[in-house]
Amino acid sequence: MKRREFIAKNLGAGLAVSTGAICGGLPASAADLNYDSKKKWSLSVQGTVPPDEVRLLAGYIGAYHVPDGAMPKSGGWKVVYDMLKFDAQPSYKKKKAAAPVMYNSSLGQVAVSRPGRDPEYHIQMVYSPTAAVEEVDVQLYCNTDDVASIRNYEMTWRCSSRDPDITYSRKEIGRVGSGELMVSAQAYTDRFRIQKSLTSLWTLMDAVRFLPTQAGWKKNFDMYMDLSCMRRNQILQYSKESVIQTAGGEVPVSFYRQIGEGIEPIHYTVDAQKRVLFVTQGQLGWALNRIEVAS
Amino acid sequence: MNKPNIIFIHVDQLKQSAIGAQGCDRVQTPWIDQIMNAGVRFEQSYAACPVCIPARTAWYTGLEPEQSGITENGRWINRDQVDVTELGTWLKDRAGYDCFYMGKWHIAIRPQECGFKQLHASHHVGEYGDTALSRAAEDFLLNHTGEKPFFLSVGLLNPHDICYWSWPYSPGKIGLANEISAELPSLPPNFIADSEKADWNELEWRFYAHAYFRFIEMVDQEIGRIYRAFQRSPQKDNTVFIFSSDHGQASGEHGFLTKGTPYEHSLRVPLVFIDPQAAPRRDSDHLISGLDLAPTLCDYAGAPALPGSNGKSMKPLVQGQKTEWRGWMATTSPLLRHRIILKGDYKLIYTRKGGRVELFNLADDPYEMNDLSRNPESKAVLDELLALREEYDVGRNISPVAQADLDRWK
Repeated sequence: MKRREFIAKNLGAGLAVSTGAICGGLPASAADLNYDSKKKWSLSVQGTVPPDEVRLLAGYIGAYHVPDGAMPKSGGWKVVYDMLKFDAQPSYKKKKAAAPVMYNSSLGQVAVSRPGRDPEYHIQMVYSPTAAVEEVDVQLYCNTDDVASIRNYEMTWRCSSRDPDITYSRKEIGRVGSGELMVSAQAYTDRFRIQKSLTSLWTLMDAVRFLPTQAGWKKNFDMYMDLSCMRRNQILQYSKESVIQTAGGEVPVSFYRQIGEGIEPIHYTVDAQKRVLFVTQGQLGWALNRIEVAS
Repeated sequence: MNKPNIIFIHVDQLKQSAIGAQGCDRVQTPWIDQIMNAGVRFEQSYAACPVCIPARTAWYTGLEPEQSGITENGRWINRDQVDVTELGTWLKDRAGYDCFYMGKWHIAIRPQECGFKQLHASHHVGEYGDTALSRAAEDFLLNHTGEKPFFLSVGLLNPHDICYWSWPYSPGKIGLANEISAELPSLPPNFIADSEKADWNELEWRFYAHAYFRFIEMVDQEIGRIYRAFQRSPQKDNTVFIFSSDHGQASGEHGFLTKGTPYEHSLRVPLVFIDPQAAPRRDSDHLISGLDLAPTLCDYAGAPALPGSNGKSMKPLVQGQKTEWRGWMATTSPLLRHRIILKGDYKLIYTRKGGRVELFNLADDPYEMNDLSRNPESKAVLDELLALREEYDVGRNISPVAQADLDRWK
């Protein structure tokens, strides 16, 4: 039985599915994700500081070339984003710096796959801000609304480190219905009341591309960040058009802005080819690394 | 109750007044509120020193900053000069506990183990690492089995991320303040625009305050995950759950940013104990210091009090037993720059350099805007608190490092 059929069968029947801990590793395709945490992208002294919406990716953008490839609305694509940390000279010390020196380094990658027209996504993430490596694998089914709100998902989460040699792991199944999000794991079931559409950052990164670009347009929703943290009362709004100077030249973009509880303002940067190139929050940023054909 | 398990969840830089349960209407903290309402909440709880390492070192050694020499960040205890007892080692050796640590450390003791088994590292940016940390803590609480009682300490980072906003190359999108002006909170009544601290206009200061509240909401969800795991723990009825913060935060109050000041925004922190043997209530009568944590944990664990600690066990207070408690209390600011004396409704701030004094009636003036030190009607109170200050300072056991701090203010 395919995973999709498994979820549809169990959740469709309204059963609280409690699954066991992860057996074995993540799917082999997670090996596609790789990054060099030691690599740094610095904004040179002569470099152009990008607009505030993406300033925390200043170093990365200075070396950035927009990748080739299209992300048609009909799906068939897999996009890989670099997850980037922000840092600045002089290393957060309260000293006067002679020139703007901001840089980025990689904390991980996340791949969002949409095989076809159906709002069905496969998310894989490898993320390592500390010595521990966090791995996420999600099959996520959404509604065909403008924010790709969640219908149900199945997620495996694992966090492991060598020193100390410990692995935490979990499998969770989530389902939205009857005004609540129900999250079932082996040991428990959580229920969270929801009053608005509930979406995830990973799927909104797709949906936002086709939202209106008109002043005053806005959308209210709740967000389940990382399928882990509830962020209520979010407002997504078209912000403005701008131009970003990258290593590959000037890129005209549109910014969407999200504000709400439990987040620093999130900005989505959409280019003319309807691709989300950058997403920025407080100090964490996502940048489109490549586009592949979904398998 | 057998020797209870002890769970201590601490966050970084959460001022007591920035919690919904404490009356703040600019922030949504449903999980912290739930915890505060489920336990014995100490509303006069003060950091031993309002910056990370001194406050946390006091938690885990029971030593005052004067004793340990840890009066500022970036220091380590010199074991040749300071006789230090590590809380983790003490609970392990004297009370038979398994001690576990996850997340932010910032305790000025080397090596890091100190009787704890480290279960999960932390990153100094909460946005990067708090979610994985809370999931790991949840996993531990749901699955831990052991013969011995355990002490689990979990150090979440946020709302500390606000610190980075005030530094020269801020990650904050401060330039966009005008775009969300309708969402921004008003400035605190004791706000002073100090361009030396940050070259911001009023809207940008409000954006900074807004960002701080959002970081609190960010960590609230992680706290909720750990709290739910505690509630599901099979040993819940034999577990004491504690929540606090190392120190507070300034968002323009008195012209300050971040922490380290002698004022309430910086010193007063949330503190709550959920003890199966104690009914929930608010305690606003007793003055609590960060120094009291270690003696309290020793008391719960049945271990002798930590040697050298001047703190007191809060366990009798939590459990509603009659006990003799201090009538006044002293605390300090970083580098021992100020001595703060608290008694009843009054608070004295003594600035060592130059001997400046400020006197506030916190019941009438919670924002510390009306200095009574030159008010003739307050002279008796001022004299009493100044005498207490002198008495306290004279009686201290001061380490050589701390003495050097004091000498700089002469």
